[in-house]
Amino acid sequence: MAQYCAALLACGATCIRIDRNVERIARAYGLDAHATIMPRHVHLSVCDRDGCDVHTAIATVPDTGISFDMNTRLSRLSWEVADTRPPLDFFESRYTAIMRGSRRHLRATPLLVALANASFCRLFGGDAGAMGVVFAATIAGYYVKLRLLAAGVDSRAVFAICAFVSSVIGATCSLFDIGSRPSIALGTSVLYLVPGIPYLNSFSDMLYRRYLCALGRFADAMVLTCCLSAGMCAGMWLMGAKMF
Amino acid sequence: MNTPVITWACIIAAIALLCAIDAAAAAIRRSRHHHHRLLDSADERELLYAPGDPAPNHPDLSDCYDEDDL
Repeated sequence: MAQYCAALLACGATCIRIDRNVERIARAYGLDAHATIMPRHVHLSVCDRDGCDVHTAIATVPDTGISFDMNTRLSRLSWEVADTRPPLDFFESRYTAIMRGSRRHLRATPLLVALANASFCRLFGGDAGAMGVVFAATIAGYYVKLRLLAAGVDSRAVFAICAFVSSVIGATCSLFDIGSRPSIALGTSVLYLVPGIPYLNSFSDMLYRRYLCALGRFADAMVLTCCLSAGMCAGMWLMGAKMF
Repeated sequence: MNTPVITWACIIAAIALLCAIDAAAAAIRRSRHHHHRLLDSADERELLYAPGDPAPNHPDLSDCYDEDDL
């Protein structure tokens, strides 16, 4: 259960979702559960309805990255347990299967992310040349991101390196005089790296008075944004691009 | 020295190299999984075989080798 909570936190679930999922599962087995959610660890206390027998477990939040797919499947598992009340072994085996089978549709993700970023470029007034360059910059940057994360490189360094790569490729418009809006291409080439989900989750946690977790997520997002900015500035400086 | 062009070329080359390494690694993994090696060794008997050739240990081939080799 503690590992389940930690996995939910790692894949980008808000604290309120974790609380409700855990309560739902515990209630299915006739127990009460209380989770203390810290930025890097989860403390889970499970007790029977009388409160006489209490067990506490601590799990470290794995560094798996945000995944809505895994978030949905883990939440669906909690509903399945609540509806069917299966043996505990079933819950454990399904959880293990979800964790092993995570990261589905990995091949389509870079293409979809690149299309989305190119659409952002169009939204901000970019022309076809800028869109094409942003598409290429996003695909290249996202590919590098996947490979570096798979190699175990720290996520902060990954953000800086990918922002540098994307900004260098995004400066292609100004380097080879492609299109009429080269600055739009350069500015939108790193948008896919902006940690929007941690910011949103931080706000959601703050609304539900989970201030510790909210501040932790916000700090994490700010650090990633700073790393992104550093990589982008380095790329702009080397490419001689002037944004302002 | 045109720093932007050199930087751009280096980044493109690095990404191309990364893709090539990835593709080669995937091809090697596939060949190992299907027991079909990309690179392998064989002797001339396996390459230049014609129906009717005697087997390697056939007694008729004893004259083809020196005494020292046997």
